[in-house]
Amino acid sequence: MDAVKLTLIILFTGLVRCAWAAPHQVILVGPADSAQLVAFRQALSAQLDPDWQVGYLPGNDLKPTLPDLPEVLWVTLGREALQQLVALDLPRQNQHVLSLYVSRRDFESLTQGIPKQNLISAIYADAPLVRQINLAHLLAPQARRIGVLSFQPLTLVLPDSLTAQAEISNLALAEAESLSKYLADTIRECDILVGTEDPDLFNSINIKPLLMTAYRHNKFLIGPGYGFVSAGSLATTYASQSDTLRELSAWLRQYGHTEVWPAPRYALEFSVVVNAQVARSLNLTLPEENALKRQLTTLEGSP
Amino acid sequence: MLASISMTAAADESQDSVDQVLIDEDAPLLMEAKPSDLPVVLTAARLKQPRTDVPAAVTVIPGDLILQLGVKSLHDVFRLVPGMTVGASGSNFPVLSYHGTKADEQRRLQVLIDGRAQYAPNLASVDWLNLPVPLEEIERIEVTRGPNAASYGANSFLATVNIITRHPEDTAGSSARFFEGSNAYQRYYLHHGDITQGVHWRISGQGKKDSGFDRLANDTAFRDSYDLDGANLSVATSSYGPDQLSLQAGFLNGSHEIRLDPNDAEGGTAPNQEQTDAFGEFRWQHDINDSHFFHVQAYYQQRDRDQVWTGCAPELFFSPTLNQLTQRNPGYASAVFARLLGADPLAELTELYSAVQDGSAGLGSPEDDQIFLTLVGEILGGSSNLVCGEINNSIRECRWDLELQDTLRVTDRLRIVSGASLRHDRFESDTYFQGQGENVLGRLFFNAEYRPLDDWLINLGGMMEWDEDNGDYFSPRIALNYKLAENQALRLVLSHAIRTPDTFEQSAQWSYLAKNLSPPLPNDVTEARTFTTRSPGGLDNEKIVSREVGYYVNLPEYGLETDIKVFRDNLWNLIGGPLQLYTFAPENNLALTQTGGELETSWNPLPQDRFRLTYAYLDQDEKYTGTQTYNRLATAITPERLFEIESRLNARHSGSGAWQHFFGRGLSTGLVYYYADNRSGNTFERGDLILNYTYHWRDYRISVMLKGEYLFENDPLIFRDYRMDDDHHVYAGLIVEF
Repeated sequence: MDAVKLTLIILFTGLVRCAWAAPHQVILVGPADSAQLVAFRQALSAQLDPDWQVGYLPGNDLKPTLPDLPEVLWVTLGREALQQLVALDLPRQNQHVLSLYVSRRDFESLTQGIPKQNLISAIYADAPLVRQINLAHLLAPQARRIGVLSFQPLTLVLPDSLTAQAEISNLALAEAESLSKYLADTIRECDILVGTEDPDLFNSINIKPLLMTAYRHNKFLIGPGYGFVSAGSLATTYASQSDTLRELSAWLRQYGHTEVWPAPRYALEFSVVVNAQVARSLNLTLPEENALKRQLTTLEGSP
Repeated sequence: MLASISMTAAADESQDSVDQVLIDEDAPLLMEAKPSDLPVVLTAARLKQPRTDVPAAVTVIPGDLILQLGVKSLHDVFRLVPGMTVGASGSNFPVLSYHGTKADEQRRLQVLIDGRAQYAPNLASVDWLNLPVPLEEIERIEVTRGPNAASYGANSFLATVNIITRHPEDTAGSSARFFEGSNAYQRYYLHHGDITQGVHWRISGQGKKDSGFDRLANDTAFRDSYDLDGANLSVATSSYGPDQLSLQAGFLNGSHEIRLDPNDAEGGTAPNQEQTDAFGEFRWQHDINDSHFFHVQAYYQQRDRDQVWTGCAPELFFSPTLNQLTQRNPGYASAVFARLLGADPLAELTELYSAVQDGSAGLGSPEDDQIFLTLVGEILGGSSNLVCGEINNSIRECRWDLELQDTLRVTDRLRIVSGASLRHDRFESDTYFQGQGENVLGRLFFNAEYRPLDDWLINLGGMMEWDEDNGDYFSPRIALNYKLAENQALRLVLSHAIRTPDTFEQSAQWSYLAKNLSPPLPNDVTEARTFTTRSPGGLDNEKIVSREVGYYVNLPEYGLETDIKVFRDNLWNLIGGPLQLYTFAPENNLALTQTGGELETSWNPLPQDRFRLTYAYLDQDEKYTGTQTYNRLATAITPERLFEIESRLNARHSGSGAWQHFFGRGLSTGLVYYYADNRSGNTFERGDLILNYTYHWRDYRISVMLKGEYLFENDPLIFRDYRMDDDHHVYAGLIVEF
């Protein structure tokens, strides 16, 4: 009986879509509504065809049990929203979930054990390491040793083209005696530091000694994200709001055709931000941000 | 159902409220990490000036480079700085200068370690071997090439050397280092650092010794080895946060052999100078806000030199008649000494005796002549026989200094640094000053950095000083930096500085109190004072005006950075004349015009190769402006001789070239070349080959350093006495860090 009902529903919705091009409904789930989010939603609507409807739902308003889930595309904004949807077991109810503003690490840990089957995917919020290292090369072509900083040791899988340019090593805080010993050694061993989105290392407490120590040695940090550049990091790649909107609408349009999400991946649309004051003080003459972005895009396009 | 609720909610939002919100589309939509969570660590006020904005020619030598190049001793570093030359004086006491001038008593350079002035104002010297700073603790050395009294006060005359030590935050862990090599060179450094309850600390021990030069010009051995040991402590709170406190203390203790005076060889003993240098420094920096901070720094330092030995001199030196002559007419006395110490004293004295008798000597008044004739009687009566007694060349100096400096970023275009300091100096030496003395120095300073237009930067600064001995004086500087492009700048600098005469030049009272005289003087006197050599006093400040045009370019795409400086400096009122026991005749009697050009460039064409090149050309014209007409009978000094002395550390062409290659896997090599064609006629030309290898074993980082030095021209170092037997020397080092 149930099977029949389900088949009917599928057939019905399929017919409706074909016949009347019924609107696609997108629900953004995020933190409590803010003007910024309202603007984001409007901008997204503007980028999509008129048959797309974009709604917004604060994560807290999600009911523990959702009766009669409508056929919508859930787009979670941030780690918390994804966590809330996962807690409601939405992905198992054949709901389509796309996660934004969640790091690769968080996405993987939150969706562990959930069969993805193209129902749940993500555009990772953190900057891909290869892109960050490419940026480091562009900013300091003479750098000999690049240190990738993380809390837990990473397995670096990097293309040969990168490792041929400089020695790239991962330095994990967890393996050091103390933060100060870690910084002393790290900064001596490396010409450039590349940060990874790892709140255990990159947080408001550690960033002070890290940046001060690096700066004292005329060395600089790339990344890990936009917020760290205003703190004193030299530069980073990141996804701006416009980048995210462009990328999200592309994903949604693609979904409109294929009805499946692409596999989770890092954002293809990105920007570069440079802390000009820090650059000047470190005596660096840097290319303009857009030029850096173009160079990075070219690098990523080539094998 | 749920979706429709949400859609409705969205429709309720009025369009107006959205438009009012400024959306920064270039920023990411921030979900969790709000920007306010992250502190702005590198605030504008804390950031250093970029090179294009620096109002002077500055050479920065990073501490890592010093270690990578296997530099043996601090003074050797400065061969890497364009325009600087390195020599030695006395019994292997290193001297160095920028734009040369005197080698002995070189005193025209200011040296600071973490803000503590190392220039001792009484005997006006910088003891390069005795600075209590281990090479391993140097973060970087900044040399401001040019007068910089506007920032650092009087005596920052030709250049200022700023040695900045490593913050204890950067030296957590332990290390042990040992170096050994030719000429009995040995050096060690041990350290341990950690953080305890949020306070970073480092404790270290160091020691060094070597046997100095191999032989004197007369082929006899040179007593000039030294052996020093010391310890340092550095404690500091984190280098961020609104209040930063730091405390440093250290000492360096040891002994330095002093060459034997020929007279002392007859019954005297060979002197050793026992040396102690100690300091303590406290500093508090407070950030009022992102664009305003100040620091207060207080330090104490002490420099003790004890040199007690049995010296021998003619009995005549204790003669009241001789003392009468030195007090009445020092020039006359000098003429007598010149003959007495000559190759054939009797013949030379006889010649002078006849000149005085026939009235042709012209050395002094008839009364002076009468004293001379009495003196000759004493000499013929046997007073030229040597007597030996215990004498000393000891001096103790100490200093308190308190400084307040305030940095205020008024706007994005205007930054003001201002401050005040107070210093108290005390010295005690029976031999040089027959007692003790003190001086108080007060200072007020400011520097405004103003950017009227994006490409123009004006630096205007000055220091007003007042001291008890030399009165008040003002040292201004104005510099203009024009940015030709983002990475190129032109600078014009006009700077004025003075050097105050040191206590010794201005008010020496130099005599030896000899004890346990043997044989005793007549009437069995066993303790007596020699004649006293006094400074004529009345010396005025030395002055310099420097005009500099500089060009700086940084081309990161080629890994190239270059700074070029051309200059024309006028120095006048320079104090020339001998400062010796037998002839002490300082006078503001020299004017120099120095012109030249300097280049400093670094080039990193590939990540694994680093090149560094420096070159300096210096031309100097001398003019005698003194009032003394040198009587050839009275002294061997002539204006030409003064010019020679005043250009002893000059080199017309000098420079260095370094190539470092990093093979990866911890292996690197360095090839360095140094050159200086000293005006003294001796050329310094050396090549170094350095090999460094580091490997990690368990938690240890083990490094081996091998270094070979080759002297292409084995000329003596500036003076004829500083000779090396071999043209090649080797060194090795073992470093364990954990």
